Amino acid sequence: MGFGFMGKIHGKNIKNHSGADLVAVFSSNETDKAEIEKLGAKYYSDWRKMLESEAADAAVVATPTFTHGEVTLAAFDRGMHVFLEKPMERAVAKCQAINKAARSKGLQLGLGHVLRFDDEYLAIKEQVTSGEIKAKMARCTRRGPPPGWASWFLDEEKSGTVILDLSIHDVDFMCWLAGKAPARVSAVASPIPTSGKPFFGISHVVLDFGPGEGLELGFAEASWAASSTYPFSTSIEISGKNGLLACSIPGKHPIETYTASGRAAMNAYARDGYYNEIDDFITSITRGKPPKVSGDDGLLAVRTCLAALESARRHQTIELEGFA
Amino acid sequence: MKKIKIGIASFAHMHAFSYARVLKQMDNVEIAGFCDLDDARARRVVNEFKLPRLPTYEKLAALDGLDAVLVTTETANHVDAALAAMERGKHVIVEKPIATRLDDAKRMIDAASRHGVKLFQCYPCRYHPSAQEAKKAIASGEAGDILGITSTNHGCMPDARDPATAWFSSKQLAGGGAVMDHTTHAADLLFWFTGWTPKHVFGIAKRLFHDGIDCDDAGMVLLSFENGAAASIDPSWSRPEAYPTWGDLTMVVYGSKMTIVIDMFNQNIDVFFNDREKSAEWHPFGPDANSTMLDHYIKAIDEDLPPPVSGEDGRRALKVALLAYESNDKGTHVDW
Repeated sequence: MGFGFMGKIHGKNIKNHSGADLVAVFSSNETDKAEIEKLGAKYYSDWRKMLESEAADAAVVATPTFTHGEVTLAAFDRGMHVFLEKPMERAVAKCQAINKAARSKGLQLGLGHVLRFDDEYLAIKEQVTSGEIKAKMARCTRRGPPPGWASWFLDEEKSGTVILDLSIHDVDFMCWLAGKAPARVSAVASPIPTSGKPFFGISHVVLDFGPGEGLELGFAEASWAASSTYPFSTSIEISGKNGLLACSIPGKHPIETYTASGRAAMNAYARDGYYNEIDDFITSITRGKPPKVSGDDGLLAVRTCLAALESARRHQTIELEGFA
Repeated sequence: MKKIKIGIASFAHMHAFSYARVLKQMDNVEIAGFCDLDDARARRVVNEFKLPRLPTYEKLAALDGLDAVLVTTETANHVDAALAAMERGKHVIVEKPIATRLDDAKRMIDAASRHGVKLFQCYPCRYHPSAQEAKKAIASGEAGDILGITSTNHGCMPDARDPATAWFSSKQLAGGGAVMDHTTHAADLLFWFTGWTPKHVFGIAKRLFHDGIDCDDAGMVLLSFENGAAASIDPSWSRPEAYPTWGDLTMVVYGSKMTIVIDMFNQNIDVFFNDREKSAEWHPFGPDANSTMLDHYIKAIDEDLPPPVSGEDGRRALKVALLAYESNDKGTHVDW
């Protein structure tokens, strides 16, 4: 459900997966019909009608953030397992409602926090888990031009700003590294020019995990203010008592090609994180085990990002416990 | 040509050695003498630079025909050495940060004005070609409206076991740790680029990487400004000992017409050693910002021009670091 930037990627990966069939796709955009039919799927312009008509085992929800709750709950009502794109929802209460429904109906819920399935980030997690680098501080950046493919991203009520949509990747990853929720969240953010209301398009989020053996301090910058020629790029650095590890994307590649239409680079692994997360979800259904990223993980990431948004608005540090 | 006569008040800060090497090379400068209260260090200075040693900052400042004193003591002692010089009518070039306390910075600024001398603050990063180029693009309007800035000034931990650098991790002498040492370079560039006035500061300072020191070695500083924009500074001493260089100064400036990415010390040749302990280094090449900065400061003394980087600039950058500590203690953002 949803055939935007992420829906197209998930559609292709499901079609290519040997353990699943792509039966139907909802898109609010009629012009997607031909592309959807080329994937061998039936096109729907009404997602409710699709849920009524199709007896699928599972649904992938990749509609705009603020619709996630409504669409996901309707899929659960039809007895479908759900793979839900990040961010889980625009509000904490809606995330909680999704988790409650999944539990009460005994359905699988997987969250699309793709960094947990990306080989680069998995390699970093592995180095931290094995104790190769004893992580104390993490620093993440995620930069690109404004998302030009849909207007709802630049509406705070719908997307929750660059913090909830983009920085949430790094916030989730750092929570995963720390193995716990941050105690306190502080943030500042800059508005970027939009045609609508003032909108935070550059954010700087500090996560204070408090004293302990593992990660204590996290920082994430996210930006939708880079020039159109700036390549979408991410970086992560983990520093600890015994050393530092760092990875940037675009980074080093075993093969790069240059043609009149530009540069292409390939990583050494065959599957990307988007494929891996769908594979994990499909496997979770066939084997009856929970997906690697749970609804509780999705909820923590949303709660932390909304606390950051609140901190940036009020110029105050927010205690995460009890924040809704 | 008239030579500008300079005295050097202490080599406690290792930058004094770099500055002295630059000053020695300048045709229009004479280093008249130095004062260092540490005998071992003074012997090193005499060996390398063959300079006369004066017993006190007062005697140094009273040297015949002296124009200016370079103050490179431990940060907490800047004020005493600077006042000794200014009270004797000498200009002062002071290492960053200007002081450990705002009232000390103010005493220096007031003394300069009272005695009609110039107070120069060392922020050599402004003279790095990358910063000059960025400033040009911003000031000309080519970069458009500046929306936000992300910066880092990472470093290795100044070795607490080495007497030459141990004071950097002494709260009393340095005024703090990483947040004090490494917030102000980026803060100064940020102010110079944008002219923005802060409204709130958030800071967090922790000791995460090194045992046996009494100061912070990691932190984050967040700034929000009167105009609604925001910026961050990562001042952590998070580079390990075997890092190929001492640290970094990076800055991403988001302009409405241009994204500027500065990685100031990223122009190097890779050097690899057949040695397990010291495997790789980055060796820089190209112009030396210290040299360009001192050229401009000496010219300002010679031609009676205002200091390009003033005591007020130094005080403003220090205020960011001090408010970051205050915010850390209070556990929330504080007002500027």
